[in-house]
Amino acid sequence: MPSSFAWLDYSEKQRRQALDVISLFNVRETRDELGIGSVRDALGDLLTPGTTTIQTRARYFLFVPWTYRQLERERVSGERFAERARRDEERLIKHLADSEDPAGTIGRMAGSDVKRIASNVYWAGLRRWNILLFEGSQQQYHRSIDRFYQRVRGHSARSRDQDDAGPPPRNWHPHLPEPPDGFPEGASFRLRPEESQYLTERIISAAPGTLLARLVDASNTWDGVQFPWQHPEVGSFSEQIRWQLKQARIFSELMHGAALLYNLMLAEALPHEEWIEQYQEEFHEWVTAADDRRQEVEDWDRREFWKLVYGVNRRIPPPTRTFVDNWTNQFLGADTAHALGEENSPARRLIEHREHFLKRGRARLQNRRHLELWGGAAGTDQLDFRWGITQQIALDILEGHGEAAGEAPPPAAGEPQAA
Amino acid sequence: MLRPDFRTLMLETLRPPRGYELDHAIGTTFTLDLIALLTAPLAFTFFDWEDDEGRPTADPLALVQAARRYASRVHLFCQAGRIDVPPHDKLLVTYLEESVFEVRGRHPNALFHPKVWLLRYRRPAAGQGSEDATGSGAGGGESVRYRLLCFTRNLTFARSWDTSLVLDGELTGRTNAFSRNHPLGDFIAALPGLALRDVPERIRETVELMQDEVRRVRFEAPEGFDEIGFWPLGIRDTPGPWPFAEPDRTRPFLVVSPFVDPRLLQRFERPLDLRYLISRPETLGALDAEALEPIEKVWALSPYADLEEQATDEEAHLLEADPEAEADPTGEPDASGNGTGDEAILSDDEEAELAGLHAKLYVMDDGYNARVWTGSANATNAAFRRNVEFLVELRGKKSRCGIKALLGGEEDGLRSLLLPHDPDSEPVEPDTEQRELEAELERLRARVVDLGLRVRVGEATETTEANATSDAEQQEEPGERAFELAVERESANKDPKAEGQARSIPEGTTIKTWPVTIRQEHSLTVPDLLSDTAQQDAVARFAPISLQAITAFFAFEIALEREDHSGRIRFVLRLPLEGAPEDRQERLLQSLLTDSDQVLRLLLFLLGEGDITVTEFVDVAHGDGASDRIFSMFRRSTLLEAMLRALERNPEALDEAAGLIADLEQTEDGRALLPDGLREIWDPIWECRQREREA
Repeated sequence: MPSSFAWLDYSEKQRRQALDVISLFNVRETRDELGIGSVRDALGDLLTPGTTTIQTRARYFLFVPWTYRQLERERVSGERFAERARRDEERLIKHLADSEDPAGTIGRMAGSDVKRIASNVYWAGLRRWNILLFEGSQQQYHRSIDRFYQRVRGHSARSRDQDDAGPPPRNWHPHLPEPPDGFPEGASFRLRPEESQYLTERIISAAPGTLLARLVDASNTWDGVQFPWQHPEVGSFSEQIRWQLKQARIFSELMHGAALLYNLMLAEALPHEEWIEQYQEEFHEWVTAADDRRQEVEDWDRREFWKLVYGVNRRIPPPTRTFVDNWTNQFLGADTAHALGEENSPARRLIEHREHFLKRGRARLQNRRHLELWGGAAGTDQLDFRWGITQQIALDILEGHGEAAGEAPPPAAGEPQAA
Repeated sequence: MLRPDFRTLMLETLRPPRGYELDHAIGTTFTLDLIALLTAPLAFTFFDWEDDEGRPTADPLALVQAARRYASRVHLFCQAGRIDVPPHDKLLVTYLEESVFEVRGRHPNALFHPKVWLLRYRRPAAGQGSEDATGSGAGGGESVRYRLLCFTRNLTFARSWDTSLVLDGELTGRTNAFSRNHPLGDFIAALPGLALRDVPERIRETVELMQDEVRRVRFEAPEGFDEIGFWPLGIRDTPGPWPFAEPDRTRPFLVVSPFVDPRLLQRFERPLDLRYLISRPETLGALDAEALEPIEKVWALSPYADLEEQATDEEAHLLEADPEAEADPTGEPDASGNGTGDEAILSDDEEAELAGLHAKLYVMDDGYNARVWTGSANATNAAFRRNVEFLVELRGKKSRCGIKALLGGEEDGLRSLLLPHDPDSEPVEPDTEQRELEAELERLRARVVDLGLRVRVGEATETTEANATSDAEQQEEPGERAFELAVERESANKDPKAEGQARSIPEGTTIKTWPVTIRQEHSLTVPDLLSDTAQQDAVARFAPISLQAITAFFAFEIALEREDHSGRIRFVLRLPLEGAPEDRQERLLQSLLTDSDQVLRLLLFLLGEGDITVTEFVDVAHGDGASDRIFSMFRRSTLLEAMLRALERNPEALDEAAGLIADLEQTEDGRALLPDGLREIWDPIWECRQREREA
């Protein structure tokens, strides 16, 4: 490692979390104030596997493998591999920033000073879509490259001697389309039809039956909507997807009330008249809507819901489940959701306990200093399970079919059509 | 400089440059988490240490192997009485006993606070044509590189905002030192002298070599900086030195520090010009508005930037999960709120390593240039007047490393993570009684450290009452040897100062001790530990204790109860161990390898060169039966193939396998663990390897 001066993390996982925290810095609404992020992410992974909130555009799913495959073809040695990859990504940034539609260029602001790189952001997603075949972190990949060349050489030696040497070792999916000539020169986020076709097939084969697979397996784009269950063609989705979306929607709508009440409680504790008024209003809107949907929540099979969630992530902390269940019980136990917001209501106590449990000494409801630091709007947006980014990526892919949209796109060379 | 998203990984900073291997590492820290020290050597190994989530591998076998190989090359100096209590089931800490040296500052009440590592990497001479492989410098066949790491984080799993400075350099062949490196050499040279107990000759020689060589290392400055300087504090009889040379005219000055002492702020105001202060909200909240008034901008790191927020169960999974940590499914907020109890234990707010800001940084704009200091020193009088600290100074162009370059824009620089401090907020009144109680606990801690305790290992006698049973998860088989660990004091009243003014023990004090390898439930209360009149030498006896649980690491808990206030501290001392069986490390290895399949896996692991990655290995080791069966089916041919491949490509791996086999062969139980028929394939291969080495 060359000399450097940087912030310190213990593990790659911790680094990713830190980067998430930083990236969320200007998007306050997405903060996970009541500790339900693990459930939110489980449902997000279920519906749209491979996407994350810090991704931006679909074509990065090709840019990253193109860059690395080129380095592998040039047999760039392990010593220089990581640095070359970084340099190539920096060149890419310049071209994207100059393109017609630069929105979503990762590292655009910082130019060659950028340390947050697209390959890192997309690594897990590439793995999930089976475009990346190497099993391990990006750094492990960089470190393994010399051994990989060795294995390739071993394989070609073996295949000279014997007929059945098996497939050659690979780090990247064999049917990855070739980049346009001169890449990264003139790179843009617009997908070519064969690229759209390729990504669609990858998604359908790696995440069959999911909402994401359904979204890209279509010929028409749609006008952006706020939540996945508002998709105009939701009626034509499979029964399983519709059921999953319903689970996600009920959870999202219910917990929105808890977030609003929490903010109302903070505003009252300060007290801050303007905010009190604002959150009272928003909370009452929620009360009205929630009362209208009471029957649905009464019929909600929570055991099935948790089975679904734990099926994605077995490690959801038990206190998280307890909190969600208790909040739901409070709602079901009251005649109207209005009772949840009443003074000294058990629901308010529940939220106070939850905050204390999560933040300990930094709980705003118990520590005036931390309350003073609160800038309003703590996680007040209704959960959308990273729909914003998913929608962007799906639309990128659909728009890539271009004029061919509407017709059946030609199958990518050499690969059988995914079922 | 230091954009928030420019981040490095702790273990990555330790990893040898390509083609080099670790020769020796000297580390320093204030507080020490033994488990963190145990994972550090993974960075020196060839095997990958991350799982697919990017966490250091949870595999105990990988840890064992790394620890076995590198324990004798890692020398860690830490403040005495500041080792955290490890979980009782981590028997591997035994491997660290010879690596940890407890030290203290030179001045009264001085802490040993630096967080630096000096690493010596070696590249063996290239095989042919380099007859003069004996040369130790760059001129010889072998080449040597050094790396200095200057962290703001201790060797713990803290998740705070800390920085890491990595300085890489080659040992030059010149005869004269780089004069700028002398303070660094002096700092390394001073370490053995600070130790509580004599440092073994072997380690002294290493320190001597490194302190001498490092003066001739050409360290490369990080990108954006041009010059480097080293500032060890508190290693001489006089305090200091003061690293911020008093300029002839005022210079804009910025301080980042989690802890702030108003007396030191005054020193920064004139003739420096302290314009910016960045700290923790709690720290700023406790300061008088008056102290902050002259400072142009006072910021706190936003609580939103907390890296702890969603920590939930991360730590528990870093290593084998502690079953107790997950055994609380009820999850009533209040009930589990006390789960870790960590906050309750932390009493020294100077270093309470919670989340939040922990970096220490001083930046001075100097015309077109800027100077930056980073390291262990907080903006407190203790840091600059008493403690042993270490700062590195970097110089460069103001545009790259000045105050503005650090703060960056509102959007993406450090500035975006900061909140202005509200000067009108009422200062938080410190709870003076609680502080006094904490100070008392610190005095007690120092007294326990100073006792000069040691541990004598004896055979447990049949009659010993079994009230302190071994809990090391090994069944007591009939006929297995059991031991007694006796904690002994140096003969009382040795210290002439103590005579006449027998120091009292505060009312309400309870002191407990226990070997870290057994549960705290089996700890013993030691009322006489601090009493000056105690007659008997042994203050606590633990028996029967299994061989695996014999340890030099002893935990202590001091609790202090007063009417309205109470507190407790827990820490580990590494005590001299007398009479321990010599083969206990080998025996420990056997107890970790429960059957021959595991030995086989470890062997494959050692020989593996990409065909079996840690990820696969972890899957197998923890995994489902299917892969287990596959392993058994292919084991013989796989092992032979792996050995042959290693012989061809990576013969050093065979030496490691040989070490493992030799260790296991030392005892009968160990021999029973070796896979059937291993000798038949191993012997001829090992013979080849030895012949090759001789050739």
